[in-house]
Amino acid sequence: MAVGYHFNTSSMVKRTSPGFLFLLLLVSGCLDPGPQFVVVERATGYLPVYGSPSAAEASMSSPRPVIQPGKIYLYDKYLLLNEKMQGIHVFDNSDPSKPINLGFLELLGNTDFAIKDGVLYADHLGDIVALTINDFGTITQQGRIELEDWIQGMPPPPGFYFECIDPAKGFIVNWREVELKNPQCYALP
Amino acid sequence: MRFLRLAIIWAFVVSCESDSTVDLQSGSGQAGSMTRFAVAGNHLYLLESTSIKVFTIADSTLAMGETVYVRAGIETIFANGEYLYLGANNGMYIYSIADPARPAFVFQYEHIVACDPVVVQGNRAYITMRSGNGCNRASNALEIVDISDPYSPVLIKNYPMSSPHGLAVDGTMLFVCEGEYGLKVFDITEEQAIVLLHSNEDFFAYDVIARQGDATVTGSDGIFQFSYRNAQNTVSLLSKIPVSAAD
Repeated sequence: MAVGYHFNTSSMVKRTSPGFLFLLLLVSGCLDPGPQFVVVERATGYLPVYGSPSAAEASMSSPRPVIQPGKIYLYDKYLLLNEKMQGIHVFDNSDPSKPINLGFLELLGNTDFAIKDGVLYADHLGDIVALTINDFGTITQQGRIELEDWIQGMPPPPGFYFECIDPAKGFIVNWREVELKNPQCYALP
Repeated sequence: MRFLRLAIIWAFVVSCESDSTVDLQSGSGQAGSMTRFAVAGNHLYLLESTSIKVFTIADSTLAMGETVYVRAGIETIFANGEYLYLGANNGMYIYSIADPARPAFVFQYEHIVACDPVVVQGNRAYITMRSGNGCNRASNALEIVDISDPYSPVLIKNYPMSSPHGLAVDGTMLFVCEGEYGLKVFDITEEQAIVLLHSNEDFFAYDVIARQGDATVTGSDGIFQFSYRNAQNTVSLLSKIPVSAAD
């Protein structure tokens, strides 16, 4: 899904030729440049929360409420539900009229996954991991490979200012509401 | 001679059936249509932002194979038989996995810019298109496409929709998540005139899995499970896993 970011580019615009700007518009596919960035002194906005791979071992924990549901997956008697950027809810779905919340697989940065023969393959903070599920009792890591071109982190909440992203700080796993001073980035609604 | 002809038809029917159930038999599960992961045989196909990345997943191991560049704007992947079907913002891409380690480009079925997943059953592809929030040039629609010849897909019919997101197909029933307009279930027996069987506008519907009479739907305020039967064309709510407000 397309997510529009709007950065304060006024200084860049002054230094760029109209021809180059036109080319940019063509490349972006939309001839309408959209709303202009509005400079404000203060605004309610969002601060990125960065995830660190060292503090993010995959593990099972007790059931937790569903807050931001993502991908769904049916495997064997299980219904699996991604909690965006946080991990996977595990339900016993033997009786679809009474799904039982068994627990939560902590997997920071996770957005998508698949299972084959008892092994869960999932994205995890920009890597792909292979985890033996053992009926979701204990989780054992079988392998881990870095992805070069994976969609990076959680997008900022649309329609709000946010503190601009610093990729050097890692992978964005959440956004925290704060009062921002002179914010330089805005997520289009 | 007559016996031989029957045998050939039988063999064809059997091979079609094994195609549609190949994933269940090979030990993998079933995803919704909005996914970037697809499993076929001993391979995992990951849709990165511009390419298909192949992994070998035999015997619980994970090994990286080839990366096949497609283009920007690819969003969903669906594996069926010897083909991968990619939903992109400019159409559907078909790749052959006859050589499973090396997906090979077959065809690009083009349409106007839209956000869209694709699912496949037998020789039919079902594609939804939704006007995105980037460029509002697209229309909201469902397309049924004949993919008997993957090198030359043919549009069977285009149906207007309200705001289609994920979709699923099982036998004669097609499930379309219509975003704020909820879930719609169609009887697709007559492809030129599909029939709306059930409509539930009580929730924002995002994606759906339909398997063995149980449809699992993700919505903004819950995960809904419906029972359905192809023969009776009835759809009824079984359960709802609630979504809690963030603290």
